[in-house]
Amino acid sequence: MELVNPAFGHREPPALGTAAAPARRGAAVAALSNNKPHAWELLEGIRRQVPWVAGRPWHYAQKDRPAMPAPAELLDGVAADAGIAVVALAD
Amino acid sequence: MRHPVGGIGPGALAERVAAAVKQLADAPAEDEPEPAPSPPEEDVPAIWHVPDELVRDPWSWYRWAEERGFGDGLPTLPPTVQAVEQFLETVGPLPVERLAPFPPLWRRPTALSLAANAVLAGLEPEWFPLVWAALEAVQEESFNLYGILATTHPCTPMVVVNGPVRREVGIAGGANCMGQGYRANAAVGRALHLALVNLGGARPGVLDRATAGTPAKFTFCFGENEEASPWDPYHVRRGFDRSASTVTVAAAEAPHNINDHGSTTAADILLTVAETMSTAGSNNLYLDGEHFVVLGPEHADTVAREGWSVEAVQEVLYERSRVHVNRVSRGNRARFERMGIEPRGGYYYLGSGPDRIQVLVAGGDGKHSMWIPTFGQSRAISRAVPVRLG
Repeated sequence: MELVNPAFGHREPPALGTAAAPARRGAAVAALSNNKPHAWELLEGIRRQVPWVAGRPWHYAQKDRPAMPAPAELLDGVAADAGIAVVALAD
Repeated sequence: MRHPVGGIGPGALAERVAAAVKQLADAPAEDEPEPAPSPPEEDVPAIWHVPDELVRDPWSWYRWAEERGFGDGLPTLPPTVQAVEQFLETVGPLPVERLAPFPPLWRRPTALSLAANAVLAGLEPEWFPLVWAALEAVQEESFNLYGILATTHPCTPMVVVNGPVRREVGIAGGANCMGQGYRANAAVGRALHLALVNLGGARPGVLDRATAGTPAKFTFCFGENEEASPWDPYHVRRGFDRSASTVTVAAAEAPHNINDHGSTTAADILLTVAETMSTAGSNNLYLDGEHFVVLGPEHADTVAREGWSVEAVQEVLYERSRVHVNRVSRGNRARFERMGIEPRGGYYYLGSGPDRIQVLVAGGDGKHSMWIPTFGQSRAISRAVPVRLG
């Protein structure tokens, strides 16, 4: 007998490499969290030390930013495809 | 995997930052080469070929489906090709091109896979337009579906139904409407959840990182008891025509009961409601999404008899549910300060204004109401239920 797979669908991950601003030295950092303060704290901490890093916290609460929380297991792989250096937060 | 930054304090956070910076500094200095495209998922077939006995024996099916993670822990109906095709014949063509891929794995649904989840959930085809409207609603960017499915917070897409469709499909809004016993309530919420989890891939403990979760994740759908409400129906207050049928989705926790058998005035009942909402551990204390006060019809009647409007209820609940700074831990106060959230007059408020408190009427007889806290980083979204899909 044939069953329809309820988990079937073509994967279409968003193009993180284009969403995160490119940085000097070819690295960008995306502080990925569904939690605004966590992503913000981490990203700002990094920026203070490495001004050439371009990055953005991905969350809904900040205006004009898409939501992009991230368990690290998922985004490590996605980001590697996109050529991004990632600090991923699972929240 | 423990929470990466929560509860570690500024010093430990700085150490984490330093480690991340080192990783960045060690990263290649030149431009990265063009990334290779993601390989196709060869291990996710569209159709499973299984022995007939597996589907005919309910226990065999139940165990097989659960082993593959298709269910939610409770028995499901097998989505045979025949059952799914029959479902789609009744529903009609699904405009799946209007749906974006589901996070966190970003799988784009097909008509077959959406219908398969509906069959799994025991959804009648005639009820599917509600699920469809909810699916479109949760994909609004401001709903923050990714966050809701992956967060440590115990939230899930709650579905509130308004309008004539409640009667047409049997969505309950009266006695025990948030509990068991109503097929349409149960199946609509469950079909939505199964579709999101199966296609989005937010498996518990893997990509769904909920610390403890909530029983609302099995299903959470109810109708407003418009007939027992002294005010305009919720969807009318959100700009829809009274004759329209709508769903409203919100990133809800499980409902929290508000017991008040003694109060006989609006002020007293609303004081009990506000004091129940006034808690230091709620996301809604420092995040700005809507949360819901679902008044039981008897409480609503007592309040409205004195001439209170919904807006007046929102105002007084907002003022009275504030939390004094002394009830908030020093660590959380410091965190709020870093987030730019300052107390006003010595109090933290639940959200940015009274309109964050969404007031509904649901349930049957009795002196109980509900407060439904939410994720906070999400907005409630309403959508009309389509008469026809496609």
